[in-house]
Amino acid sequence: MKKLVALVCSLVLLVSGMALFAGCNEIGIPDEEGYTIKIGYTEYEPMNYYDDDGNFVGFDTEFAIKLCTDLGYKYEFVLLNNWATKVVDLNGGTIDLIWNGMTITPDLQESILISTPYLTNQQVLIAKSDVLSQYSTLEDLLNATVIAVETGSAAETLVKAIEGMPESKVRPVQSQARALMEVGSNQADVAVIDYTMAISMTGEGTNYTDVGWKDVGFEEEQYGIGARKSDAAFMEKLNAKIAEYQESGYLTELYNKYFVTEEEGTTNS
Amino acid sequence: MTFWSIVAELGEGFLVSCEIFFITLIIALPLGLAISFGSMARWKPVRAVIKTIVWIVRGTPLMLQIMIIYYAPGLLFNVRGINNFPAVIIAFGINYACYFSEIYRGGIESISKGQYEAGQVLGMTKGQIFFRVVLLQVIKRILPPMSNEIMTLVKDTSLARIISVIELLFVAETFTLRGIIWPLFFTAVFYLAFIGILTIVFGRLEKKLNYFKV
Repeated sequence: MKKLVALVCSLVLLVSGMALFAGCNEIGIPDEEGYTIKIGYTEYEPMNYYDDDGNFVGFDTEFAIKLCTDLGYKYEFVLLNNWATKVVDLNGGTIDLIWNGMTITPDLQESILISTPYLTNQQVLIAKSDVLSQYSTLEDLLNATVIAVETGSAAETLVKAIEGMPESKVRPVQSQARALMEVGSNQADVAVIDYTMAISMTGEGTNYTDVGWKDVGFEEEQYGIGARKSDAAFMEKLNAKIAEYQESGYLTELYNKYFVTEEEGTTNS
Repeated sequence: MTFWSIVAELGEGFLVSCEIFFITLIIALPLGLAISFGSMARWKPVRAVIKTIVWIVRGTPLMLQIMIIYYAPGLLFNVRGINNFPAVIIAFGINYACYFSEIYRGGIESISKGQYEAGQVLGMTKGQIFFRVVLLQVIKRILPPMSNEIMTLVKDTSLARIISVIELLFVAETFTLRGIIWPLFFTAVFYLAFIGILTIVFGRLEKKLNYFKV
């Protein structure tokens, strides 16, 4: 009797195990139209965020929707719980693309496929408005006690590369939004985040009215879209579209919509 | 990067995890006992206050408690708050003390009245009865639930990474940024080894206390 039960149990296990495998499709973006591309993002203004009416908007949101639709694919936005593990999510098939204001770095280029750059960004310093004037060059960052940066971001690399910067001063946090929160809660004197984010999340009319940003001379960098190395065929199509949008002025249009502040009409970049 | 250099870096993170673990225990074990006395106090207001605190601490995620202790002072009063490591220790200490307190309470209340009465007959003071007669029996009885909670603590130390305490899982996650994924899963080896040691230690302790049959 016991043996029979064991036999039945193992059979059930075997069958359900096989069913599980059968349920898994091969990871990769197929060449056929109608496939739903899973786009990995983290929520942050102005790339992917919800506006006051609860609509999912942003530079990358609109850009991704247009590109997927133009190529004949469906899309689905998948919220990454951690920017640090984005490559795991990508290779594990949880997402098909990383499309979230990702700065192109040599490290990333080694492990994943990255599109041609579609936006230029710069790292800027943010601090409480009353102390912002103390910082104007990269060397001034040495005077800060704690500098918050997103872990694994370009900012982290750049700050650590400042000559004489002790590693104990650099506090790696989970996201850029967290870096901002560190400054807002006085846990860090300054943070280094994307210009694109600083402009839309600090100052008048934002939740961080007492926080300001400043260009302290970090080098410019480029944003790209990340894909698995096995999706090279798709990447070709994607790059062709980016080139097309650059030509047609669509990307400039988007830039003006999300980055040019209405009051000033110009930006510092 | 070679295998061993990565393991060494993970080991450094693991040391921080261990620090959180041991300091939390040093704080939470006695604090839990104090809280359990509070929750059994004869005076009602004390009992009410302690029970409310225990309810709040057990009723909210530890991760949230860590964030509140770390961020709230700065955000609410515009002062520089508590540093990240002490903030984690405070959150863990209070959280685990509350859980321990309920285990202590269960243990203390399970000791039969006869034990107290016997102590009284022998002319012992209240303190003597508790520390010489009751406590050891309590420890024997609560050892299994305590070991459960303590093993959970080992793994909960990974929560400290949300306020940038560079513990084991934090280190592993930074490797994934460089496209090196295996360290993330390799962390399990550290946790398993630690829990394995704890299992042996608790097994021995239980055996040692075995002579103490009531």
